[in-house]
Amino acid sequence: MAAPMKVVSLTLAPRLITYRFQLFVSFSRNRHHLSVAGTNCNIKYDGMVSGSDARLKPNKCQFRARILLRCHSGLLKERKCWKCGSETNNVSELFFCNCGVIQSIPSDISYFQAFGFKPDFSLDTEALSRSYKELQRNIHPDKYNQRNEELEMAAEQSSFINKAYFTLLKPFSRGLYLLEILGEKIDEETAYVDQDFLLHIMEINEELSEATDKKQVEKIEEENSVELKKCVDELSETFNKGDIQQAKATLIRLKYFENIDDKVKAFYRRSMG
Amino acid sequence: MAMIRNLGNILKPTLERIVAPQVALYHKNVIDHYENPRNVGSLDKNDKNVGTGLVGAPACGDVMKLQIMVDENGKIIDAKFKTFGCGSAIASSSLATEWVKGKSIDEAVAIKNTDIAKELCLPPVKLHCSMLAEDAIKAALKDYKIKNDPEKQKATASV
Repeated sequence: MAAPMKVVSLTLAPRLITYRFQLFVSFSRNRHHLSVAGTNCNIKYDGMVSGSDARLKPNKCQFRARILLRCHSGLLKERKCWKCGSETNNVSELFFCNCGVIQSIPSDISYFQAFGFKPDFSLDTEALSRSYKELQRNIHPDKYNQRNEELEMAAEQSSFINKAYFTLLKPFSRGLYLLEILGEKIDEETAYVDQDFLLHIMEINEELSEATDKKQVEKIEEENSVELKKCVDELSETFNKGDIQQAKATLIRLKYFENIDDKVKAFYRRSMG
Repeated sequence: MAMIRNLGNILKPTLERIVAPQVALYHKNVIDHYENPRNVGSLDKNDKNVGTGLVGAPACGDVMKLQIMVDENGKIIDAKFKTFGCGSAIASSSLATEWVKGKSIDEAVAIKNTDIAKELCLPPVKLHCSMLAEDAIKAALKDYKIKNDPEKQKATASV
């Protein structure tokens, strides 16, 4: 029943992994069953391919998306502590070796991994904030003023953590980042022709730009927050299903609603003087 | 004390030279169109002689509406726009309305985003704003043509 073993060479997103893996993929067409095992890594994936994926030809991109959603922390390269020379655990000793010395940031780490999360859209932002504050407390460059070797690493880590945190905090930038990990992006060429949607956005913008009354703006804000929430829920679902194209379309809508939200906030700032 | 107060005046020209390039992120042509946009407004989109183009930039969430009014000789006699987006997008669409006015529909089709970008001296990261303006012109012309195509009209009338 199983189709012959296929060897697929995968180039994973640069920020996650910088080297190539040879993956053995066996693909049974009838049962849409996919199993993946890495030769020089510990990726293992064994599971059903969802309907939308199964219709596609088993090419690089399609497998990439599914596999990346399944595997996380275990993928980092092995590292040695620069000071004591012992091998460091790339999850629990990501920032500090057990000997207490700060480590330089691995180049192949994703923003999600930095905080110990799976690359997943639905993430607990409160846990993220807690993790961020805790990390920044420990790696703040001011603490390493007297230690030249570590100061540079601390500064590098601190700036990386800042970037990672602010990318993951807001739904749009988080979604965009996740999309990038999965090998997709939203650029100027991305066609968006849903005229009804654009018309709707145009109308909200017009109403907002002409609004003078706070109540009017509050109403717009209220309706907009419903739309924002709808988009975020939809994104959690589509990313979870691995439906990248749908996630992309929702992300674009989210961007428009986030822009409106920014304008509402700007209105409040102006009205407060 | 007086010396300290004078210090500001002495340094002023130097400081301005240092600070100015950081402030002037946009070229003066962009700022001109941004501060005094031409042809802002709307035309009646149900008018047979009006073509409406509505386009969006997914990457930045900008939305642009450009409308043209065409007379019986196929000449664009009026153009209006409304853009919600960055300064470059507003300037690009403002300039686009200026350029299409007085042109025939065939001439207007030939307006290229590179011409708009050149006129406004847009930096590479803002080139897509001029592309959006070009798309808006094309969409408006297409809408006008569809509205005035006898074949299509018959089709919609029979539906």
